[in-house]
Amino acid sequence: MIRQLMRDPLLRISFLVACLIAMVSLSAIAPAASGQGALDAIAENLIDIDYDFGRWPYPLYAEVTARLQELAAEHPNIATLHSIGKTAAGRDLWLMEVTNTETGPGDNKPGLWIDGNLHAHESNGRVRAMYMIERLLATYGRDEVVTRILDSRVFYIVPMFDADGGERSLTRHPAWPGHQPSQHLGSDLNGDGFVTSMRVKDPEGMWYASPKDDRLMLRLRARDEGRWNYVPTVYDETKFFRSSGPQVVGATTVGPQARWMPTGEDPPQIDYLAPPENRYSIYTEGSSPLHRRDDFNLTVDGFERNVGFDPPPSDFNRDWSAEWRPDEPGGGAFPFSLPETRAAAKFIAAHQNIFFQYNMHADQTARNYTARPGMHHPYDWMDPEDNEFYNRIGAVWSALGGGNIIENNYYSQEIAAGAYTDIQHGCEVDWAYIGRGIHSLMPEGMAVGKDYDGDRYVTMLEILRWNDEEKNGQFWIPWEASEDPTLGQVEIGGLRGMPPALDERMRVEGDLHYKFLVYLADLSPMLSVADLQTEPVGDDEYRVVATLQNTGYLATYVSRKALEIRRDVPILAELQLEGAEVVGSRSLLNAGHILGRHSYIWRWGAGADESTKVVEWRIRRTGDGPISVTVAAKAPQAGRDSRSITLGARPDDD
Amino acid sequence: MGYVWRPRPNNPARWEMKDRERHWTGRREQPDYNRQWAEEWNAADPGAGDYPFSLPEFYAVAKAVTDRRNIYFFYDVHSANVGREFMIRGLSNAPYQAMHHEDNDWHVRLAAAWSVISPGDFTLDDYYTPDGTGATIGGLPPDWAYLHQGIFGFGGELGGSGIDYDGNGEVLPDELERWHQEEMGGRYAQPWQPYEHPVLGSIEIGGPHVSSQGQFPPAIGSLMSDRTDKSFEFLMYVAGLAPEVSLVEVTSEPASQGTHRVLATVRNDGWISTYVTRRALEIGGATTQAGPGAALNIRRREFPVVVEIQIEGGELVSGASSQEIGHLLGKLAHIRQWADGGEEVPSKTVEWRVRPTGPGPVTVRVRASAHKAGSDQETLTLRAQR
Repeated sequence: MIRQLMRDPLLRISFLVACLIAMVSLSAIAPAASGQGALDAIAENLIDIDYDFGRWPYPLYAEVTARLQELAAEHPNIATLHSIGKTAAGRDLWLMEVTNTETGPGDNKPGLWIDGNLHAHESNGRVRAMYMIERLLATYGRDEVVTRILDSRVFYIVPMFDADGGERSLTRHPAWPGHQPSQHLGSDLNGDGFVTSMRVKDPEGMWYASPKDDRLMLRLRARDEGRWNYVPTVYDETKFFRSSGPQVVGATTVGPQARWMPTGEDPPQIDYLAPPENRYSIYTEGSSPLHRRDDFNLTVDGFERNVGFDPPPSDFNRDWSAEWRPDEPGGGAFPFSLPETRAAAKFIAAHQNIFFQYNMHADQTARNYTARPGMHHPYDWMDPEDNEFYNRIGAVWSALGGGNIIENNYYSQEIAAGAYTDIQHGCEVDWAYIGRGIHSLMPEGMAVGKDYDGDRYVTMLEILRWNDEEKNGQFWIPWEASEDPTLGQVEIGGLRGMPPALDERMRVEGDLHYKFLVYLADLSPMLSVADLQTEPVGDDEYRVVATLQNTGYLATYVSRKALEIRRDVPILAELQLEGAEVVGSRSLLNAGHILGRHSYIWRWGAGADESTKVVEWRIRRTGDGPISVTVAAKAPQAGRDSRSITLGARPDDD
Repeated sequence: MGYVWRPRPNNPARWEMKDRERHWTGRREQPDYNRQWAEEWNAADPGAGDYPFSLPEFYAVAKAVTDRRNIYFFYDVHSANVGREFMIRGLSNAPYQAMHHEDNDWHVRLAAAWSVISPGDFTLDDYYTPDGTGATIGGLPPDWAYLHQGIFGFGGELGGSGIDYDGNGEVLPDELERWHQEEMGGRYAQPWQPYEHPVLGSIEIGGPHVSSQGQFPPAIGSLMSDRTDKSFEFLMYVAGLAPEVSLVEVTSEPASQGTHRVLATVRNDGWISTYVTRRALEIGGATTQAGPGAALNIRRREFPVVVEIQIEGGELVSGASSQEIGHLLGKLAHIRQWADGGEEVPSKTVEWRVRPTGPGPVTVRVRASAHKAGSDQETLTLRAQR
């Protein structure tokens, strides 16, 4: 696979740079406690488990619930199931807390929030989240790295964020036994049991058929100059896309507008592909002609949710308050108007130990990519120290996935194509960083199919081939002539219930996220009381000096943003005494923050040295017996540690 | 609670909440009920809370307001305890010209009305505070109402207690103290008394009671009565400005083939347009643009006028029984647009053709309505044609 990657000059350079950065990054975070290199942890040595990635449709709410309850019962010391609220339909919103409670409650350890299936139709997020839980639980005690991570960190995993929408999306899917075709915008005109798509020849149409496979419809796009041009899009069979979004033309699935990202090569000259006589308009099968699909359409089950305030419903990933706008599509009535996002925000705000938020989407990409915070800002909007952190984890992400992408909306390919649209406000990833000061990523999932040529992209043609060779053509049917009562002669065909991800692609993806999340968990700040000394300073009085250290990668403030918005929680050091009392100060002291390796390296270049912090007290003996001195230090996002020392009894005057 | 007060850098005589008390005890701070609104909510603001609407009270209010499409004005009453009353308007973090001029006109007129009702009292936004500290406040209700909901929002700050002995419209500190001594028997403050503090040494203890938050009662007695009257009068004035859909006339005339032509003229008799604010149109305007928003839609903030017809003894030949006719300007917008040479008219006419289905009379009932502009209806009996 590496050899195949090296064939592409651009990818080769990107990959080598990514590996170099990743190695530097990883070498900086080798956990001192275990001596196990984190590179090994994420790349090679994590124990795998058997898991059925070929199952489709994915499990429904009841089955996932039962499995979560079963896992919690089987692993009482490391898995605790919580209901953190109710969905709009009254379902429990499940959160699995995974940590070794014998080493302390989860609240006392650095935490990661992970959610899946936030968008109803992006249901592979629930599979990835469940796989994460299953693999952590199954390998705890056998896998050295996982054991160390769960002894010292906590994962808060919500597999089904939009449990109501996910249920509706899956049970409406054509693959679901006994499903009824969605009548939302169309009807089953040809009586085959599915609502798919219709295409009609139209000189003014926005679509044309791929000359390589007539089933595949490609879209024309308008340029700023006002003239029509034909830009390859996500729907193209070429490799000139980082596909974001949708299955092509399906009745129950759709995605954002087509995008195009140049890869350094000239775009293909394909004007000849779509002269007016070859153009089509596309409609949902049996729909009103008003529903011509010129653009984004509304047939996504995930966006059908109506929580009762006012239609149209809110988008679960536009309901978070950071940079929320009333004119944002799906923005809803007001931030956190949805019970699910509100429950999540409440939980996260109440758990100050959470330092990372990870929300797993499934935008059906040709390869994995992940969005980073600051969706509408250039990278230099972010504090350089924080930006550097994203550069580093982005490099690891890229190395793990063989060239995967990390970016924000501002730097999406739309910028490169000159078509940036200021959308996607109120996203979870921005709320975590801007509103809470914790780091966050929003990975998108891969589409189905198979990487037949091994170039790490699965093109639409490869999806078609996979559909034909391995799935008996069930998900993508050819166009067949039919009669529409309004439009007359039409052709019906296209996508028919294509699953989000399946089989080997799903396995690769699940494995990738698992490794990446274990790696991210390892980056938390980690507090320790490195040293504790006393010295006499007079009759019956002593000076107590504790050296606090952050052995983690991130600083105890986690992000510079947290300092800016004053959401950081500093270290508290408490002196606990027996046989003595504190003199001249409080026993509980605010020790401020300690840099982690990341920020230490960053600032070391500027001559800073803040890798440890010394806390000092003066104590006075209150009796004749020995003195017990304990210093306990804690910071929610950096964990807890303590160290004790005993001073001898008062010497006999004789 | 949880605030640190310190002198303002440019005006040391005044103090400000500058920094939250670092929550080093692990206690999360108490949210400020007036920093919880989503508009320009700022995590760094003292009292911002965990996230917008994190308090159940405000979530309930936000839900109630968004569920009720007829609300066009949002008013919350505060008690700043200053010498005279004042009103808070939006925008808190931008100059007036950031607001559409038609909406700003409305604020200016309302401010003028307030100044007449409560002589000399002023209206301001945080951006134009007299101190000009440059500090801004996020998450205020007038901004939320205007920028997120597209309705007008004001915040009233009630004056403090005391009596305006010299009748100049303002209760100055000496008048407050005189009132406190003469009317209240000095019960809300203690004179300064020497005391020996274990750390600070010789000090004096006194002043307003801590139990009253360091302040006198917000307002009581005749002053409270006077101010309540003015607030009531002001709110009644604002209520009178609402958009008001009116059926000016419903007429009919014979048409061909025994049909009747029914005409209904609808006008907005209110001061405010049926869209209420230009901001509401701006938010909803995104739905008309190409792109993802066009189909996904955006929650509507403006609700146009709908005219409906019901017929007894006849049937509709042409014209939809229910028609959305867009918006009708109010007096304020009409004057402004007329001065600008605009062509929008304050009334619109809807037309139907009706055919009798029997020998009896035909009764048509026409109803015009808009969520924020009420409704009106007329009934007309059509004469049979010979």
